[in-house]
Amino acid sequence: MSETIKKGHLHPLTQVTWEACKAFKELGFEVAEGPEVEDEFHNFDALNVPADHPVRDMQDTFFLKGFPNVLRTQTSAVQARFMEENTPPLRIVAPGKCFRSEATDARHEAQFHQIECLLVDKGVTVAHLKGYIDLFFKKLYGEEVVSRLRPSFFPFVEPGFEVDMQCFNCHNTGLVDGKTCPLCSGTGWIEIGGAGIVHPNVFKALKLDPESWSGFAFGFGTERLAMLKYGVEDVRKMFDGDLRLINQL
Amino acid sequence: MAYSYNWLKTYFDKEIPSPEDIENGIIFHSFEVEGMEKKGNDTLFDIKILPDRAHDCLCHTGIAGEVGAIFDLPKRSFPSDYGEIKTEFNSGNTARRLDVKIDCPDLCRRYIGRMVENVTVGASPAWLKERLESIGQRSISNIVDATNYVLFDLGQPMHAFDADKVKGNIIVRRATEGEKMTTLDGKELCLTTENMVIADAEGPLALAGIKGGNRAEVDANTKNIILESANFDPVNIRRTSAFVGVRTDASKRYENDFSPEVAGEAMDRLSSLLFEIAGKEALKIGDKIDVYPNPAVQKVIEVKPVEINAVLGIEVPEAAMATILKNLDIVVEKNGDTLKLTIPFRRVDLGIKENVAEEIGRIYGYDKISPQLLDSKLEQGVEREANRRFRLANKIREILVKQGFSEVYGYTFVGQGEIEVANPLALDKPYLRTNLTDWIKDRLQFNLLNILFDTDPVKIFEMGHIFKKDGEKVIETTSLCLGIARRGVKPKIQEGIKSEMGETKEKIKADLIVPELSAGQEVSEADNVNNLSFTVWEGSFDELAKNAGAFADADLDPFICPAKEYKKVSAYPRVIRDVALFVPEEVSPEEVMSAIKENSGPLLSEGPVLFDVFPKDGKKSLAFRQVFQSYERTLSDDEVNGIMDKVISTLEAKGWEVRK
Repeated sequence: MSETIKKGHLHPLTQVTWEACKAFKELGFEVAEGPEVEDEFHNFDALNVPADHPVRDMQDTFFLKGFPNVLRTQTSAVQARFMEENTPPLRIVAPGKCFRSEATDARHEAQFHQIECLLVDKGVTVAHLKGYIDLFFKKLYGEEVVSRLRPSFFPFVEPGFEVDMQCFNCHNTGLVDGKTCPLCSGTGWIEIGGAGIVHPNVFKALKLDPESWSGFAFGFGTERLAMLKYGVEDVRKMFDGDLRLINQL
Repeated sequence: MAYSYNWLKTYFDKEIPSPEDIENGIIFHSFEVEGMEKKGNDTLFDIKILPDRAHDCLCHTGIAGEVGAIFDLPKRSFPSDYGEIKTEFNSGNTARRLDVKIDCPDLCRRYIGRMVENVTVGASPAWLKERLESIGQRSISNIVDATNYVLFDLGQPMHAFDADKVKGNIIVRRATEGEKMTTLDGKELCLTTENMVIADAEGPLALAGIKGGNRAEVDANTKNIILESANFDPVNIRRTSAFVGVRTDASKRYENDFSPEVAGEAMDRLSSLLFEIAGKEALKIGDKIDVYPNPAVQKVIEVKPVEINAVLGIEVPEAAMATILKNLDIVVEKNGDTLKLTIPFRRVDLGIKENVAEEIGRIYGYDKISPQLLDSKLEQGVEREANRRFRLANKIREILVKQGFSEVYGYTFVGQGEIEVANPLALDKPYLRTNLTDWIKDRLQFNLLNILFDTDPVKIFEMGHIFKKDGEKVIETTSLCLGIARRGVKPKIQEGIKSEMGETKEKIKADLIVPELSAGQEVSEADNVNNLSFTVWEGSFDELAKNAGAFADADLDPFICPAKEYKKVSAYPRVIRDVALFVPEEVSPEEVMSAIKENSGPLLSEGPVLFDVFPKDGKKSLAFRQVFQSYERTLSDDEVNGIMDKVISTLEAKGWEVRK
């Protein structure tokens, strides 16, 4: 039996990342990356997160001993780097690993991944943000899936939103076989990430003129996308290297 | 924070929508509602206020303002609980005059003190108890409850000192180095000049903006009080609060930089309330001693409706804009096509056009915005390096998966390394990993425990960042690591996996068109204790990226698993059983397999897998392996033997000869 080569399996996080990046590539986005050990400028200051301000408490940050760096808390740091080095118009998708000092449980890990999109151009509006998010969900989860925006706050965008996706499991009905849909707890919607219109302070910090350029950004949790897709109940299973899970997918 | 529906009602003369409608309105126009709960004849909302609105919405006035704007409801100028708000009390001045001095105007923006004499300390009236208890606050006494009520009404922290325990006047100043004070709850603090105190002639009475001291605590015998309504520098409060390790309802609000204008209104409300519940005409309410060196200036934003629409991507009718702004207490003056907006003091967050666009958009409703795509296609220039690296990483993944390797993701935090996290979550893993080899070795051994046949190899890989130290710098690189392991320690097994590793590396070299996989280290060992052999190679992905030629794009689509519910892995041990049998030539292995499956019951977790076939005397011998495992318990041998007995007797009943 063992003499024939069995094909291996991609990690579920790679699978979701591939699908997302492929979808965005078709929309004219290119992949960007940045370091996991980040400086405070790109992780915070450039993103309109000043020192000594409660907005820093929104993310529990890991600091390094003897270095002025942090472990990046969000892939938005890649936005800052890319805007600093390139001139608009820009379209990037940035998948990557992030870290937050949060107590670990089935839904939280100190390390996790995000997939972040940034588009900077002329005359970019909330309607465009909505358009691209919808397109992304359609490519990943099917034609009929739409998104919904709720007001929220992230310091590097204004206006800022929480993004919900119509539940693909129960088709927004809240019910599967007459029972409450386990994926969306019967609400018909799934919380999937954050989004917004790039804050003028971010452009200013990165030496771009907010009067000339506008843009949107959104970011989704990769683990969440993968866990939803495969019904994985505990995020820690993503990092235990157990082929009994990985080789099923 | 918890908000009471009944409390919110007091801000309106008209009926307000049902709790369910309020909840929905808040969710789609303001904030996330984390919970809603009926409590007696009230309903409680648990609303998550983010830092952009913590300066004005950590109180009922703020949420009432949102409700008014969302549902286009006129608000009262103050909640009906107060009866009336007096700005003057004709009680004649107090016997003792109060003086207030701010020694550190850089840290204290405003301090209003007021002497109140002849108070009657006692229980609060029922309505006040009910209000506070509804949001989970304990009723203490009428004086303390009144200050808390104003806090949760307006968001202004208030404090009352026992005036007879205060020696001399009130001074707001920096603490002296090593100055000590004891808080209301008995905590000893040792302060520095970076901290600010409210003091009298003898020393600190309170840690400014954070916690009262025990020296001038109001108690049952208190006759005269000094009321405080103040505003402090948010950064100083934040730092001091972190320094002394005391975080309170007050410090949280000061950290969030609310308007010093609120202090004046709050003092009037607290005084009016105390007049009602702590003495009435007998009460002597002194003058407000208001030290306010640099009064706040009301912000003005000039914006054109077309600019708002240009952010939102929708035409909001001007009348709708006007209503929204009015309901948010923003005063509008129209000047040609420009709106001159005078922002209420409370809304510290509003300062630029984009803020106004958000206010209009969220109240008008984001659901009214239709999705749209940009017309322009972006011109593709020269490919940037990151994009190429991403394509390369996927190419490597494609090669490896085709060679039978599965991908794992490991933890960045490890027990040993060169770069240490200052605030690690797990104390035994404070370092960032310096290699992937250690983890891959560990996982090879782990996954070998779960193979079905001893001859099955385990082949895994990871691509990820590793961290080393070079003098004063963190060196972060991307590493690629492959591992192969098999049961057994014989030289033949070792050679086998080593040559397989060699072939895989050759394949990578050929497909990526790199001359040599030079940077790398390979470890091959036979582990006699665990009876296994492994070989692990780790090399630099960055170097591969530097040297790779024009490689073909990967297509990972064939390796993407469609959405499905994965089968959970049991935490209990598995039991392996083989069955071998002779069957006539014409019986197919599938027929035998389904017979085994049908009779194995729900505990069969893997298999049957056919692993041996040979002909003998006109018959053929088939051997199958199956695994039994429970999600709830460890299976006993007897239990599994029972299942296998049933399987065997079924096979025998078909006339097949089971080899025993």
